[in-house]
Amino acid sequence: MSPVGVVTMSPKRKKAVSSVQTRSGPFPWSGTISRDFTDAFNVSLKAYWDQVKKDNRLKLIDIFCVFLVVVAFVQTSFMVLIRDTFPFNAFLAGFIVCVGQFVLLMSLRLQLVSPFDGISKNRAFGEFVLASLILHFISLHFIN
Amino acid sequence: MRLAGVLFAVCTLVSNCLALQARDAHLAFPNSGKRGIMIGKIDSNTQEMQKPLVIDNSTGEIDFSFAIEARDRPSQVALLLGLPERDLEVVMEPKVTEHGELIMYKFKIDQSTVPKALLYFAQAEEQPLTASVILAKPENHKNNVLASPFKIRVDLDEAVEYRRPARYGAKPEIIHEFNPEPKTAPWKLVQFFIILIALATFGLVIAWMSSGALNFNSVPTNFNVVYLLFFILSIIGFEYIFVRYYAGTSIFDTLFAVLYLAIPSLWLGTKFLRNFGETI
Amino acid sequence: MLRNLLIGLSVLLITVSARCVEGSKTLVLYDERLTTISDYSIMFDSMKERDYKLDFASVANETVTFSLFDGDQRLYDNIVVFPGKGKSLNKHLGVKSLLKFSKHGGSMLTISSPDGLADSIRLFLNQLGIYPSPKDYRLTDNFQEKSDSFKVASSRVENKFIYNSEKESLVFANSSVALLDNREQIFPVLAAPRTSICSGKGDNVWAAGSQAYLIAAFQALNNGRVTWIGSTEFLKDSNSHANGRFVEELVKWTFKEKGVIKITGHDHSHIDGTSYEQAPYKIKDVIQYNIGLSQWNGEQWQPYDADDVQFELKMIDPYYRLTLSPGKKENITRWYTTGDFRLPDHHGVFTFQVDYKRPGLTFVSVSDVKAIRHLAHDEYPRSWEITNAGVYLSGIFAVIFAWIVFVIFFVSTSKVNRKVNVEKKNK
Repeated sequence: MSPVGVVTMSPKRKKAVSSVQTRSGPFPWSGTISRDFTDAFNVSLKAYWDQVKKDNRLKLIDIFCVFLVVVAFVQTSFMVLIRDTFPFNAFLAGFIVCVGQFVLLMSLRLQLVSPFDGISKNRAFGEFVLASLILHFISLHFIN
Repeated sequence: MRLAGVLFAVCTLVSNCLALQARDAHLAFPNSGKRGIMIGKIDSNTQEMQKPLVIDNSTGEIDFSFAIEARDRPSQVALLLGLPERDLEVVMEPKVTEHGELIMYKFKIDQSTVPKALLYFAQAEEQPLTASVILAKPENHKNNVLASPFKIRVDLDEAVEYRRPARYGAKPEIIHEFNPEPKTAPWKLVQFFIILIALATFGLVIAWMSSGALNFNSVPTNFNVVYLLFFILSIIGFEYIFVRYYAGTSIFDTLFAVLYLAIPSLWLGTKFLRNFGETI
Repeated sequence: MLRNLLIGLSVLLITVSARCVEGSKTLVLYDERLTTISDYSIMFDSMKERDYKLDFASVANETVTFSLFDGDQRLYDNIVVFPGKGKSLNKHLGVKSLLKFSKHGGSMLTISSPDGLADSIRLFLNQLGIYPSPKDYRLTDNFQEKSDSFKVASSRVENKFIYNSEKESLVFANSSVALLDNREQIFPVLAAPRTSICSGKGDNVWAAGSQAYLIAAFQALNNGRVTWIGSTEFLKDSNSHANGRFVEELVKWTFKEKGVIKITGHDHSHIDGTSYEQAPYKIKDVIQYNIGLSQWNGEQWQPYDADDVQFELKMIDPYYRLTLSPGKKENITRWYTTGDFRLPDHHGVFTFQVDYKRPGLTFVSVSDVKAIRHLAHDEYPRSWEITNAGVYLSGIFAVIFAWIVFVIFFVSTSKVNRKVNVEKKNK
């Protein structure tokens, strides 16, 4: 693979070098950094979409995670807006249910993509349901 | 008749001579350099001076002196200084010097020797101190002199330091001040945020449905659908028990309810997951 | 005959009931050489009418013996002491026995004059804070008709519980004065006139003006009373036309026929009537406190009316000091109540106290110590009662709802869309 990679890389690199040489600016390396960043970003995004296309349920999990982040953000912005943490236990309960549910979802997602040794996916889902129920109970208990 | 008239005249003459009076009464301010004030004669008819004297931070000593003829020497000469309407007066003794036919009496009124109680009440009630002169001889009550020639106003910059002595009586009322209740946000703002969260939930369901990731292909068509249904119902049941706990059911009732629901749901739930096939 | 006898006996029994609250056995001590006891007959006769048992004892008489105590029991309730020469009373009535008598709650009426005051009485009075003038120091007022016999208006009597009349004029003669300490328990009764002067031999002056007192009283914390009068002429029959009523009232006050109050009962509870035993107090509870006061009017107890009875809720420092308002009136009691007030939001062991001390009345005080607990874990406001918590609560319920829907969708969805498979199959 590598020689091919080198061969294919060099014209690109040449192009990059030539583009650098022609540019006259105070920071000659800034172009490279921003370009590397956008390259990395695009590569990860493509990898992500490929992964999600393979399994529908990952989309469900990811959308649920975004929702949890939004709810946590709304609660925090309310607290910041009134500048008062008055029922602090209530704020913590609301925040922890979002964070804990997020963590459990991530753990389920991880096991769906590449299951752990000795734990089947069904069992992972069963544990996820049990842990979520306990989390909900704790949250409702803590908000009193 | 005429003898009686002559005797009467003689008697009145004698009694007039017996009337006590002080001469050359004057006030001096040795330390502060202010001009002295002449009062003149002091007898039973003496009226008060127009303007009261002032004790303030700059006044040092006030000297009040007068002279009495030696042949009229009274046995009681005193200066009462205080607030007579409050029954609070102090008696000051004079310094007596004899100059032949005249006896000079001098009273020193000094801010440091006047009792603090007098200064305090004079300042607090804004009343001037009354100075009364007593010139008295025994068995002479008609002709003894009790006159108030001047008043002294107390005008000090800072309040007099005087602790009133303890007396039994009603004390000032005390009502406990409670800690303020914690302030809460206005209800409208809270409602706004609740609506935000409700919108987010709504948006979530919409996003799920429109993501194209939903299909109901995994719903089993055989007997396993009952297990699926029971599984869903049992988790809804658990959430219902938790919400009931939040609403006030005691923890012990809740734990028993969880136990009763957990036994069948664990058994049937694991059965469901085991038979769910390879699709998970 | 028998009926008459019975009536007579019952009348006797009724009149024998004592007028003093404490007791009426009185010892009168005097010195024959200075005092002729028959000059005071009006005063003593009026006391006998009010059922005092008087024992007269003259210290000049060597054969007379008396003792105040039998072990630790007081044999006399009241003592009247007339002036005596310096050391005359030391044998019978030393300072220590006077102090013991006062400690056991006995009352005294001491009279002194420029003719002399016994040393032990003088030392005892000095301990209380009353400093009478020495022997041969006389009070004179050159602004009255006769220098050493003068009139004082009865409106100048300073303590209204002892005597309350504006119209009379009291006569003093041959009087000594006393200087007083600034103690709360000393009640000055009558000040000397402004223009008076108390002087002795050679023009030595003891006191002058209205800072010296002609009559002064002292009440100990156990309510034993000591009154000092500066002149024997004041009590004599010859002046009883002017002084008689005042002397009678003064004697009544000193020997506890007058100016005596007591607390007949006190209680506190929640405003709905639940007592502390049924529901112990917790912070911020609303409760009320009631107390009943009675006054002795010489023959019986009757309700006591005042507007300055105060209640204190204390834990070291007072958290509340409320003036009680009069409520219902019972047989012999007037009940006072605080109304409704809220307990402080600090928990601890509090004292519910009424400490009523006024000059001229017996000191009464009652206190009740109770614990006030903090809120229990389930007495705090629940989150649905707090406005702020609504946001967070809705967040939790939103997550729970979303999670249930998620599980339903998750279990129902297959890994890949079968449509693609079907298409592939069809292809």
